[in-house]
Amino acid sequence: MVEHRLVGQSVVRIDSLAKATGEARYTADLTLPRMLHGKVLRSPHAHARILHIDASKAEKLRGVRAVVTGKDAAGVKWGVFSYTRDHELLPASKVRYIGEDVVAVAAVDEETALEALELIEVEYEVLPAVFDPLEAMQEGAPLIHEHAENNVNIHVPIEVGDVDRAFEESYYVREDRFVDTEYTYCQTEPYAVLASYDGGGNLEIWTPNASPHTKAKALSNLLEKPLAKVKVRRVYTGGAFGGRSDIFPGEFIAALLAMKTGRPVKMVYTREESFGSVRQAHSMVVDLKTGVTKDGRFLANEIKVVLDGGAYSSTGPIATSVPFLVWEETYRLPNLRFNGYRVFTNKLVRGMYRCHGRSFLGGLGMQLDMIAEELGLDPAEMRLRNALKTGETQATGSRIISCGLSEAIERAAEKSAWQEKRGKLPYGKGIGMGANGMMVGFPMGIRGGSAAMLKFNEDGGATLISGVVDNGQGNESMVVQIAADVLGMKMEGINLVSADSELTPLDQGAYSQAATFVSGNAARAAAMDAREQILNIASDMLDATPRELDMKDGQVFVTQRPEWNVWLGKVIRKALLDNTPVVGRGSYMPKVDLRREWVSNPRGQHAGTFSFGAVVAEVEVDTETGQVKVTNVTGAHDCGVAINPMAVEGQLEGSVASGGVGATLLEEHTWDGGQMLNANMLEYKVPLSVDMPQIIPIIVETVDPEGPYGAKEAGLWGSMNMFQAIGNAVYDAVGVWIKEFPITPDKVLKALEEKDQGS
Amino acid sequence: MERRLIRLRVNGEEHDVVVSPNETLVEVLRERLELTGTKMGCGEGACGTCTVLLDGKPVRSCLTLAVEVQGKVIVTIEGLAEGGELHPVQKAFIEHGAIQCGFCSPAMILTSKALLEENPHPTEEEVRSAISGQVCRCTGYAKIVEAILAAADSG
Amino acid sequence: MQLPSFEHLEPRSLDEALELLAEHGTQAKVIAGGTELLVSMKQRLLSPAYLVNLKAVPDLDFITEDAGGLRIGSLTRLSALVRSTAVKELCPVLGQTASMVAAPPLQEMGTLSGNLCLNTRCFYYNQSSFWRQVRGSCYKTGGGLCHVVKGGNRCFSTYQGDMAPTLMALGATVKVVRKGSEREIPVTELYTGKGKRPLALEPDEIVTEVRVPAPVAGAGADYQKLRYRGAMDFPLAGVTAVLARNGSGLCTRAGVALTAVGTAPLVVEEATSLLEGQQVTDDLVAQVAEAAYEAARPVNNVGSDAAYRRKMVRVLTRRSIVNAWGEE
Repeated sequence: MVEHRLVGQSVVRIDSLAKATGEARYTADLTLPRMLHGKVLRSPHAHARILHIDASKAEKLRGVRAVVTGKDAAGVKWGVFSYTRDHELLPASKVRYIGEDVVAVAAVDEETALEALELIEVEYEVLPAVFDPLEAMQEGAPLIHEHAENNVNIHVPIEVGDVDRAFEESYYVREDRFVDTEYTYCQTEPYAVLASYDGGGNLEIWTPNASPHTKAKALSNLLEKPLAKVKVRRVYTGGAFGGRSDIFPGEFIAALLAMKTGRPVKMVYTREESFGSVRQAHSMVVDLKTGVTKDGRFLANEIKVVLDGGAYSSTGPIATSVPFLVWEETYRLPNLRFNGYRVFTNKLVRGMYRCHGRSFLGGLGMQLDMIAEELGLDPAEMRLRNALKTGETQATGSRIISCGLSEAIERAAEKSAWQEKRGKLPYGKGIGMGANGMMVGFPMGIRGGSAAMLKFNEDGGATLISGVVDNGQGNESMVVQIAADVLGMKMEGINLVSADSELTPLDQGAYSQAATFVSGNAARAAAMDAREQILNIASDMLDATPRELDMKDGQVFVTQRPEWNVWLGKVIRKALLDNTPVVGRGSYMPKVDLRREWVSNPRGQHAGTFSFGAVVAEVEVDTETGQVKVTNVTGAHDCGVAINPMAVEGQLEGSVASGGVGATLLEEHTWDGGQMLNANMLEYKVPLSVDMPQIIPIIVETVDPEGPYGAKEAGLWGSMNMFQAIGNAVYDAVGVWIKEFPITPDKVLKALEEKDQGS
Repeated sequence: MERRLIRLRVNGEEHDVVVSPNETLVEVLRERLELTGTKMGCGEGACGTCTVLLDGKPVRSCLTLAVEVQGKVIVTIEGLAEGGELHPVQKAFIEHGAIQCGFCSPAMILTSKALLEENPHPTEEEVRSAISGQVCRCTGYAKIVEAILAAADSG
Repeated sequence: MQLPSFEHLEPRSLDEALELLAEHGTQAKVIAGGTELLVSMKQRLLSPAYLVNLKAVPDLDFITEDAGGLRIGSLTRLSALVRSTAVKELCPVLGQTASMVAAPPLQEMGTLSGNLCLNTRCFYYNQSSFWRQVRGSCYKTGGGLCHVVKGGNRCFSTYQGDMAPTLMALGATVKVVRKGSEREIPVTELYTGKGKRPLALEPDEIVTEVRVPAPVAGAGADYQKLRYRGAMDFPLAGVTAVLARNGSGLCTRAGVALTAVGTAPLVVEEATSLLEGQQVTDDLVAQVAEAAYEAARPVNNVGSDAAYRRKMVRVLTRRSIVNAWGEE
């Protein structure tokens, strides 16, 4: 095997230069000849029938080139799963949330398109609407979709062991309800799309996305076009965080307008539209009942969660299940009952999010601390007693092939001086821990794998072709770093073609934390294949067996006698003359149980592997204002192996912002009925530089047997782990449990007042 | 609304452009001069991604009228590298992993440059304050702060 | 978001500016920093036919010191207040307050009078035209109801400027001019208390100067601001206390003013009568804080919770008084 020359080093990412100079082009930066500008007229009603649309005045306005309505959309519905096809991306007969797309216009400039919107008359029949998921489940609530009784969109029931008996046998049982409000991605880049259509029937799409192949497949279905004619192109993407995965109305509408006009159409959403008409994150009501043994081992868990799903399914079955899965990936849970309900309401569609399920996962991790206190246990010790280990199988049947959870808990505790601080800090200061596992990949059927190619050029340079997608995490750089390591090349020697649904093989995309594990493995396999071909050819030239050869710095040489070498370019030329051009090919499909299905069969191997980690947060609570300041975060992460430690650290640091200070303390959408009150970046409060704590990242390496070089994932474990750590730290500081996220100052103060009155 | 010819001095070059009074600087930079390195994240001054330097000071170009910046020295991210040589702040951002999705980076880099020109050796607190109007959604600001402090040390 | 059309007028002198304002009346708006006005215009809350740009008007950007105290031109940038040595020496609370407005780049753009003359704000008002169209006009946008206080018979939009309470607590005045006349009024009188029309300025009037009286011996001051983030946010509540003491440790002068807890910034009159001539004890501070709490009238229209914000007035008042008073 080759020695690691590059993997494990903090290298400069290949995309940094273009981003530092302003050269990197994002969708809104693109311009095509004869390009038109699109704008969408949106529903002012939360629930209404569309009776009549009169766009005749708009069509006649000078500069307007096309108007499309639901009639042009032919009534086709989109859904991620065959059983969730409920979203007409441009509805013909009914709108289900304020801000939903109704009519779209393409015009010579944005001003004209906006003017045209004002000339369109839409007649609605307003219908009763429902905004609260618990109300929506009641008998007699307005029905949002005909097929969904009681507005229940998805129900995932899972039962393992004998739960009722286990509760009876439990030494201690407690029940708690945790809730949260809606929150959102707020990627710095607003939503934008550019669509181009030619006479040959080729549709090209540029849009910030986490998966060009997923978008292409959806458009191919909706527009009834062969996949080869739907080309979703690579474009720099200003953050995704789970919110750019499935298809959105914008791409569909831009495609319709481009097809109708035969001209490129660009739509750039306002920040308000990005907040209100794409996707946001679910709010949840979580009921937890947990029974433990006297020594703090989980005996019985019953979880009921109601997710506010908004108007359509989107990734509903996944969203309903993921926090539950994270929980079972973390601890040994012998008896388990889960009922997840995703419910329709007349609000914007909700999708998967980097900080998905703050009340769910935060609640579970805070309840663990409550139980530990009742039992007189150190919560770190209770986590260790229940923590899964390598070789164990999770409740619904996934085997763990590498696990550094216990080590992460121990190292985070040690580095943060947990023993010296926990329960011992002065009033107002506190420390709290969180721990979790994280699936590296979802079961995604044919879309769950990745393939890569590596072709060599006659000058010894190479082009890596991979479906890998980069939304800012560093995935592009990661595959190049791996390939360069295998081939003993410099990263500059390998150019990357990626994230293009036409040019690159199928890949799951920057979704489900699988890019390193799956796309990285495929890139490594392609590089290994090319390497083997090169060494075979060079073995003739160097009169040695391929096994005696190695590659470094563009040379192939005999390992024992490096002075016997040949320039890589020369090997490539020889390969061309021999009619055996060097083209590496590799693929990877995670070893999951393909029979597993989110709703109908939630059993079997769920992901190829799992990452693990623990965080310790320290807070200061201003007991007069209730304001919580996170001062320090220590995070220990079993990421398998860090391909680029600097990038892995960056993921934890970003997680502390989005999952910690953001999702746990600050971020929420406020509503009046179906209308969002703060769809802007002043009042939707994402953390700023001055709000952030000092962060100590610790990388725990377990060398996963399946991962490329032993690597797993880095992006999600931390952000989904912060809620409980901070919630627990607040309790340690001031002795109140805040069971409603985000933990805003008014809630903390109220809890403190109630505590004072009670005592 | 009267359109008029104005002269803008951007990145050391003079540009004559015909604009309407209601065009903001970010629109003119991006759409007329095709300097798309300046991003537009919210259009309301809340996110900071449209920041450019006006006479050396970071300002929101989405809340600046193009007609009112004639005669000012405007620097965008495209004008930062001199003679193909990256500015020390750009270098530091690249080397310290301070760039993830990159959408906030041009504004963040320009803001940092302005800070270091006024205060060549800022404390960490001063750095955090200087960039407190710039939203980054990826990095948690840790490596950005690190990069700025490193650029200060190297300068 | 695009701006609506307007004519851009660039007067070269104050007289010319006043002339233009007199000519165009309600059709015109003055632009200086633009950080509030242009957002409102993008949201179509305002669509003036003319923008009178004061940036080229000389002599509105200055900080000078005279026997009377500080004289500050209305177009002085907030960042200039933060940096000014004269402010640091004579009236540091002005710089402290300015440094807490939004964030440094916006302090670089925003002006002193722009912050003083901020329009009142509300979650149902500071929205796009599409957003507002969803639920119809309120008092502030020309309709006949309030979306926040159900059954309310007036506009409850909240004044959220940072500079006002500080200047009011300092007893500052502003010079207001229009064509052919000028007046000097206490900052307090700049505000009507009416959410719908919060400023006591005629359409053709502008503030040209702020005068801050020379500090009394032994004076201290402090601004306390409640916000969820460490920057950018408008205050959810804000309190400035200005106190002076004499050699025998008695309070000789006291001013306490609030912002973001009503339709206008306000001086807590009772604070002055309670504190002046007294030893500043914990009990007395608590009484003043209670008076400030009583004076505050926040409603649920700018984020957080109104009852919480009101309670915070107590805390902020106490803290600002304690900081202003300093150590014995």
